[in-house]
Amino acid sequence: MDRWGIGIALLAGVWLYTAGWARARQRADGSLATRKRLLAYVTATAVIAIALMSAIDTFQSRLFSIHMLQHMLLVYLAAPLLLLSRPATFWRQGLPAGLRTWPTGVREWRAAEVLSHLARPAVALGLSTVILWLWHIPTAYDLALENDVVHALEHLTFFGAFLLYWWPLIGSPSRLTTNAARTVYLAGGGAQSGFLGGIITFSPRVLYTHYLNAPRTGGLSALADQQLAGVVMWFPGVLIYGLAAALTMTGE
Amino acid sequence: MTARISQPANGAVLRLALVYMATGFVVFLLMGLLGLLMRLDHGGILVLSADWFYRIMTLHGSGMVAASLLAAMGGLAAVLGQTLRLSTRWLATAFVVYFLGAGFVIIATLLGGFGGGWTALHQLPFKGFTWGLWAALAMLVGYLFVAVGFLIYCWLVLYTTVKRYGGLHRVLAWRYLVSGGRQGADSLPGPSEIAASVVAIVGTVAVLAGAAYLVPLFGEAAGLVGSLDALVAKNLLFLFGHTLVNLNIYLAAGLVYATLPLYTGREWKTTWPVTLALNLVLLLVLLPYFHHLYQDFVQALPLHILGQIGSYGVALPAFLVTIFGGLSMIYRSGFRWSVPSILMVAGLWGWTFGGLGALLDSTIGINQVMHNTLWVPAHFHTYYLLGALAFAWAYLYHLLGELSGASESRLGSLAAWLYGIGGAGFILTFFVSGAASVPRRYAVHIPEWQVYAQASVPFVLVLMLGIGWLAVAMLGRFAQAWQKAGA
Repeated sequence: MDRWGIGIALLAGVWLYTAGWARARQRADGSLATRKRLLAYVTATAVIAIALMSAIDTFQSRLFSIHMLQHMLLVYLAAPLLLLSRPATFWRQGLPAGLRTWPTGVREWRAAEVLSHLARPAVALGLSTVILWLWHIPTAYDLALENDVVHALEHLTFFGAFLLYWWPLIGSPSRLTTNAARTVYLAGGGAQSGFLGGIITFSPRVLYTHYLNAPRTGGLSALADQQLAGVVMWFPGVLIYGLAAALTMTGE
Repeated sequence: MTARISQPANGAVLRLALVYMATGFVVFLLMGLLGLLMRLDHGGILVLSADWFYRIMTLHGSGMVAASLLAAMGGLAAVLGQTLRLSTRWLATAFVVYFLGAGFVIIATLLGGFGGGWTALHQLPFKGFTWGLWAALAMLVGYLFVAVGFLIYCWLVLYTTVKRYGGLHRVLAWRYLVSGGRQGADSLPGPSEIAASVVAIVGTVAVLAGAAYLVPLFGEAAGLVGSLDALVAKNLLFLFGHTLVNLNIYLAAGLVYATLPLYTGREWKTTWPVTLALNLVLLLVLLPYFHHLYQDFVQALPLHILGQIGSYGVALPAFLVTIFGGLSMIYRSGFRWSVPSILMVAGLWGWTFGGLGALLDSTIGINQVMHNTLWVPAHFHTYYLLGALAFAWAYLYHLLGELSGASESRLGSLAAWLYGIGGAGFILTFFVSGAASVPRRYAVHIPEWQVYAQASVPFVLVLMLGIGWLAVAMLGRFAQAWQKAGA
């Protein structure tokens, strides 16, 4: 999808969400249509736009570290913010009256059951881990960099996987009901992504041939760029998981 | 003699305590395997490259401290949870930050090749021959986050105790102390609460020292800061590190104050000597670190002397309160010998002998001879394996048994004896090695030295048998304990 397409989709999403949010507010449904949710949605949209439409997207094919930053923005910022904003609720409310009742059939759909199963903590953690590691296999990663369709699929699956990951923590209803469970969940998620970042940082050779052949930018060698990419993965990661712990734990 | 938890802690706190302690135990097992590899290498039984030896040594040392501290933090949270309202939000956050920080240490050593030892000193971290800049940074970032996790825990404990008792002076029972026990005896905190608060205060100081060491290092790595004063850096590092490992033992001692009474039927009261001793620890525990710099002749002599005085002085509260107090509590109490009580007694003796070794080595004249020998690992392995860790596993075993309601077989106690005997034998070979001037931190031992490591291997195997047995027993109790904790 090119930037125009992404931009139009994001704008449509903002329009739909805002309309639904305003409609909910008008119905005095204040507990649902809060300003925080609106801000979360708008911020998520902005983060996605920055990740996919700014210079970050331009340079991601030249610098692995920038590509990693792009992924981090999507999975660690945009995904949880989007979840917090409860988009499905407000998108539906933003639809024209005739279409608003149509999505209610989703509840009866098998898809809702599947989604509910996927959002179970063990499944979400396992699936997000598998998808994260599979896409970082050199063959897969290089293919995504050479083929736009595969690249889009990569981004969509990353985003989807981390929507699933954050769901048990901050989705509604929250599937992790105790602080002990949240602790183990966050520690597990942080550990596996940190370890992958470490493998990338400390690999003695360049893992992805695309970056080996890409024009050098910023004076960084391909190996130095890869090391930086791994650091971008593990260092901010621990900050995100620590922050998530502080924000999602409840006062039991 | 019935050993029961006097009042169950909040279920959420108990579950988090189990997460802390179980994680600490698993990491302890893994780090123990690394220790075995080192002993096998020293014995010439298994040959590791020097590169890998130092990576393993670095990970084993820092990992064991991290595991032991984590377990003690969790155990004491469960103890404090019986009388205080601890915020599980911050208890959980502390764990996540601490755990992920420890993960960086694993990444730095196993993946990054960092082998500078836990006491990687400036200029060294960034100028290693076998590791790069990022490995050093990963190690230091790991320390930073472990320290931040510990700091969150300390502030949580301090906030909770101060809130409960209405002020720091009440938490530390100063009115009671200053009046010679004549005033303020009503609503005194328990020994575990005072110990935890002392640890929290000193821990804050230690972490700040660590930050003062680490932040300029990061600045140096980023090219923002020129050269650092190596002597100041070393002082800060050991103020942080040595104090932290000492505090680990005091946290674990807090577990003994809470648990030993359940096996003796005698209450561990907050008496005037106990209050004095724990308050003295506030200052005394900060002084001994100078003994790590005895070989740095550029350090001012008064500081060396202060280190010796501090090292001797800090032994007094530990000896009088925990060791003497513990043993007198056991004497003629109808003490029930079971896994937790055997481990606690092993810990008391371990702290005694480890302390004697420490007193010897902290004597300047003796240190001139013993400093770089295996005598040093001998004393801290005693403090840890047969001290802090024995206390921690005693409490974990007790907690799991109490929560699950599982009874203990007579044969089950054998596991604790194996732990004690295997641990004592293993440590004894370190002391003998040190006395024979076998150097520490050498990857390769010449044939004359190998015999000591070879002698330790059977004891290590006995120790592993004991630990494995304890692990199986605790695993069998875990699921039910978890369920009951949340009920």
